[in-house]
Parts: sequence; C-alpha cells; structure tokens
Amino acid sequence: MINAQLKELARTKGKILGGCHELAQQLSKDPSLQEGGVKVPIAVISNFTVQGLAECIKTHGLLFDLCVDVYEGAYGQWQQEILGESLYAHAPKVIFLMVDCLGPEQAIHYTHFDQQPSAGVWIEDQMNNLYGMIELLKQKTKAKIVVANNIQPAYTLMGNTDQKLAAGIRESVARANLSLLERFRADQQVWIFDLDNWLGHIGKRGALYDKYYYLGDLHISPSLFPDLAGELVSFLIPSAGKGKKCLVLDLDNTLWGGVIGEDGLEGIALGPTGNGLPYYLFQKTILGLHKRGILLAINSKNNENDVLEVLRKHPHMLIREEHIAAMKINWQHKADNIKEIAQELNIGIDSLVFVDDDPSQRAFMRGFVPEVEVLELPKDSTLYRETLLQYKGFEIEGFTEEDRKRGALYYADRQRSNAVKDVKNLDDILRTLKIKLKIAPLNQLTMPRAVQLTQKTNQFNLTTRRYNKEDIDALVVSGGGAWTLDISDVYGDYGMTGLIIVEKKLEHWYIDTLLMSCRILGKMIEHQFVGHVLGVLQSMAPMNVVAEYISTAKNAQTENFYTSTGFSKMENTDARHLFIIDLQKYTFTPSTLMELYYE
Amino acid sequence: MNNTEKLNSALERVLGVQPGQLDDNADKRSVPNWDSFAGLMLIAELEKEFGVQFSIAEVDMMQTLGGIKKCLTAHGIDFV
Repeated sequence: MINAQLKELARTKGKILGGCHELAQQLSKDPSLQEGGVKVPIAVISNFTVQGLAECIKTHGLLFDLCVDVYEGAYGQWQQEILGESLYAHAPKVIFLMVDCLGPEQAIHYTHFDQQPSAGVWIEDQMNNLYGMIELLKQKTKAKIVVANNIQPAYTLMGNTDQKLAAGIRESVARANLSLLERFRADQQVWIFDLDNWLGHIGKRGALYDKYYYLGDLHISPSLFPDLAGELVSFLIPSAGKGKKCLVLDLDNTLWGGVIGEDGLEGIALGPTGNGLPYYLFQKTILGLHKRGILLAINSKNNENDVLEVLRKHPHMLIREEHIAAMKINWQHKADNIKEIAQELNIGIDSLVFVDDDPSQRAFMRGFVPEVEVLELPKDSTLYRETLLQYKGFEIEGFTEEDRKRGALYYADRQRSNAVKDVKNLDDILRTLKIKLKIAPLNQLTMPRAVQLTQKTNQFNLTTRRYNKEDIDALVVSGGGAWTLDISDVYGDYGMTGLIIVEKKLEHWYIDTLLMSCRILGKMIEHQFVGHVLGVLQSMAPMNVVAEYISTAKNAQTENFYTSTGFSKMENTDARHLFIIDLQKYTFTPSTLMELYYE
Repeated sequence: MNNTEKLNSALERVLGVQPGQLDDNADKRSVPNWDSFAGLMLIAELEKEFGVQFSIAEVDMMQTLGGIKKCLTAHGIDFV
C-alpha cells in the first residue's frame, strides 16, 4: 500500500488543480514516494485541451493505492494517436477517449434549418466516425477503452421549439448517447463515462465557460479537473484489484440517530418519516450495496443485547442480523475489532471501508490501521447517503450471480472462534487528538447538566444512581464534593461528559457516583479524571477512598474499572463490589498525552 | 488565511515559488514555470480561491504579478 502520509496529502491537495499539479511534480522528482502502489499505465486521448488532467488523475489514483502513469495524447490529434504507434508503446491498461463530437460551437450553432445535413444526421456522422476509430483501437490493443459521451448543451438557439424539429440538437445528442450505450453494452472492453451526467451533477453553469474555450480550447473549466479525475479513476479500480469488499459500520448516530444505550429502543431516530428519515435512507443504501455483493459488518461500542434488540425488534430497522457477515459489539478498540472482522471474513484488511460518525474514531482507525479506508462522513446525516453513493471503491466490472448471493453466504459462515485480541499502544493516536480535560467543582450553572447525566447515563455509570438537584446538594453539603468534566479535542467540543460525586464519611471518602458519556471512552480519559479527583481529595484529607460498582444490565464494561485505576478489591463485603485506595500512599501522575485544566 | 496568504499559496502551488520571491514586475519571462498553461491554471485557481470571475480584458492584464493584484483589487480584494 502507498504511504499513509502521501495518501493524506493526496486527499487534501487533490481537491484543487494547483494542489494536484504540485503533488504530481513532487512525484515525478521522487518516484520512490509512491512505493507500494499498483502501477497502472493509462492514456488520455482527446480532441480538446485536457492539459492538467493527468496530474489530477495521478493524485486521485494515490487514494486507491494506484501509481498512475499517464500518456497524454498530442493536442487535437486523437485520430492520429489511434493510428500511430507511440500510444501502444506506453502499453496502457486503460485508454480514456474524450472526444467532444459537437464541441462548444456546433452544440449551439448547428441548427437544422440552414445546414445540410440536418443536426441529427450530422451528429450521427460524427458518432460513426468515433465508432470506426474505436473499432480500430480494439484491433490494436486489449486495453479497457473508456469513452466519454456527448455533452448536452445548456442552451439551444431554438429554445423550446428545438423539441419540435425533426432532429433538434437535444434529441440528437440524447440519441447519440443512447446509441453509444447500446452499441457497447455487451462489450467488456468498451465502457462509457457519462460525462454529460457528471457535468449535470457538478453544474454546467460552473463547468462550461466560453472563456476557457477562448483562452485555451478547454471545453470544461480546468478547476473541475480534480473532480473529473476522481470520476475517471473509478474505472481503474476494479481491474487493479483495489475494489473494496466490505462496509464496516458503526451504529449509534450512524445507522440511527441517538445512542441506543442511553435513548433505548423507542428513543432512537429511525424510520420513514421525521428525523429518522436520513438514517432510514442511509440503511436503504447500505442494504442496496449488500444486495449487489458488498459484505456488511458491525463494529460498535455497545452492549450486545441492546443492539440485538434493535436488529430484531425495531420496526424500521432495514439492516437485520441476516445481512451481517461479522459482528463486533463490545468495548474493545474498534481498530482491534476491525482486524478481527478481516480475519473472520478472510478478506484483506485493505478491502474494508469503515463508516463512523465520530471523527475521533475515524482518526483512531486511520492511525492504527491505515490499510482500512475510512469514509469521511459529514456531520449532517442527510448527506450520509450521498457520501456513500459517491464513494468509488465499490466499483465492479459487471454483476454476477455470486455477487447476488455473497451476503447470504457470509451470514451462514459467521460463527467462528474469537480471534486473538492484540493490545495496541494508544499514545501516538492520543497525541494527534490533543485532548483537553477541564475538571471543575460542580456549581449551580453546571447543575442541570449534571442532573441530566445521572438520569441518562447507563453504560459507563458505576452505581447508576438517578438524582435530582436536591439529592446532589445534600451529598455535597455533608462535606463531600462533586466535580464535572468537560472534554474537547481537535475535532471539537464534547461538552460536559463526566461527573463524580464523593461523600465524606467519618473515616473515609466514598465515591457515590462516577459516570462518563460513552462518546469519550477508550482514550484513558476516565483514569485521568478519577486520578485528578483523588489528588484533590488527598489535599482535602488523605484518608482511604472507598468506591463501589453496582452491576446493571447496561454497565458491564465498568466492572473492572476501579482495579484498572489503582484500587484494590475489598474482601468480605457480602454481595457488594467495593474497592479501596489509600491516599496516604497515592500520587497522581498526569498524562503527558493530554492537557488537564483544573478550575 | 488573509488575501495575501491566499494569493501566495496559489502562486506557490502553480508556479512553485515561495512567498516574497516575486515582485510586482514578475512575468512569464522572469518566472521559469510561468508558461501559458500555468497562466491559465492560475486564473482558474484565483477564481476559485476568491470566488470571482475575471473578464477577458482582465485576463489580458494578468500578465504580471502586479497586474494580477490590480485585477483582484478591482474585485474588492485588498492586499494590505
């Protein structure tokens, strides 16, 4: 695979023409940068200026581990290129043929009323010439040939009456594009790039400028070349073996709105109306991909029973157990889970695509398992579907019966022994997140959120005591204390996500409540929070601290939390799970991986 | 990024020059990478970066760095 840093550079630089240009120059100076990629020689042959497109294709190829080497046909000489030798000497695996049969002038000005032959016949002649050249090309090469279709002009001279002519421009172009599709439908060598549709998606108003035509015979604005390159690269992916096979899905706020562990079966947003619609549509899209052969896996930090309840009982859940090839619902790192998923399904880790709404989870995944493709899911859930649909990694060359059946096969194969869980060092990833903890004594301004946290938090909640304001006041007034935790990282502010309430007993402190929102778990934040508060208690009175774990259906993940943070289990405590630590001997060590502020 | 930084970053991407390396007289003759395609690319980049459209008359003026700044200024983009 290509170096992760270079890929990241391609991702950012690849958005603009100058950035692609700059990166391509670096690559030609030092070709060793793209080591590990699959070499793909290609050619671009065109009857208009596409200078600058090659650099964009090279840049976008990197995102799929392709080192694309582009042969650029001489300007305006597409037919000479096909007839000549140098094109074939380059041994291209894919040849892009971008012949704008009408061009910016004829598309508007070839009208049927003052010209012979009529527009329809004239366009047909152009197409027949193109077909002749394609046949010639097929005789000379086994390369995949990708032909761009014709651009429907944004305007016509005849206006609405164009449709009433025997062969108006619009109809003639539509017929030409249809004939292109029909002619090559059964031909595995020739593929059509729907240039006209892409231009419609981008917006012809921003793409077809007479100015660039005037300045350099550019039929498409060069600032759109990066986007165009992304489209063209999609034709290179399957035959280079870089197609993706499996979607690995997060659940909370990805497949439904809300957090199942907090909001419950009735509380999550999912359904054909209201705020559940974006998630419903997203699931529909995912299920559609599944039906055409993409495997689905779940990678979620949750209690398995909560998730199974949704999969089995939620009336609007479209993705069900039978669609899932591998399921990892636990409190392990998602990076470890995803490796197990790849092993279990016996597919390359580089054929997985990870989908998660949480940018920090995405950053974790990129850092730990750079082979995995991480989909950049936007914050707005109404953009989820589009983001997935425009992703090119699921391109295939033809649709088979195996594709149709694949999902069911894997489902039947799901039950397998647990793979070895290897533990990773988090440090490098945590450093990139630049986590900031703000710990402060509870006050009247933060009280409402603290009350809400005690009422809503289920998963990382050691005692699950539900309180109102008066309850908390009473605990604190007795000489104890309560502290809140606010978290932010490079991706934004999580707000107040942690609370600890300590009661002062005669001879010891007692941790009455400790809870954290599950969004911030798995980053050692919980240990820093508790450690710091122990330090504060130490300065108040260095007594023993007793803590308790009260088991519920939701908080199994916290069972061993206290022993993991320096407490010892107390013996002879009947059925209670009590833990103790001696503050006389305690020293809090702040982590160097995050910043801690105390107010 | 302020306007000067935006302009400099486009110049760096397209022409491969560092900020401050060019004076207002810089043109195709004095900057090795500034060929006609680079000039075109620069126009496309600046149009995108600053959200403006240059007229053909303006493009004709954009043959020197000083000319480029002048055109941008005419679109209300100031360089302090």
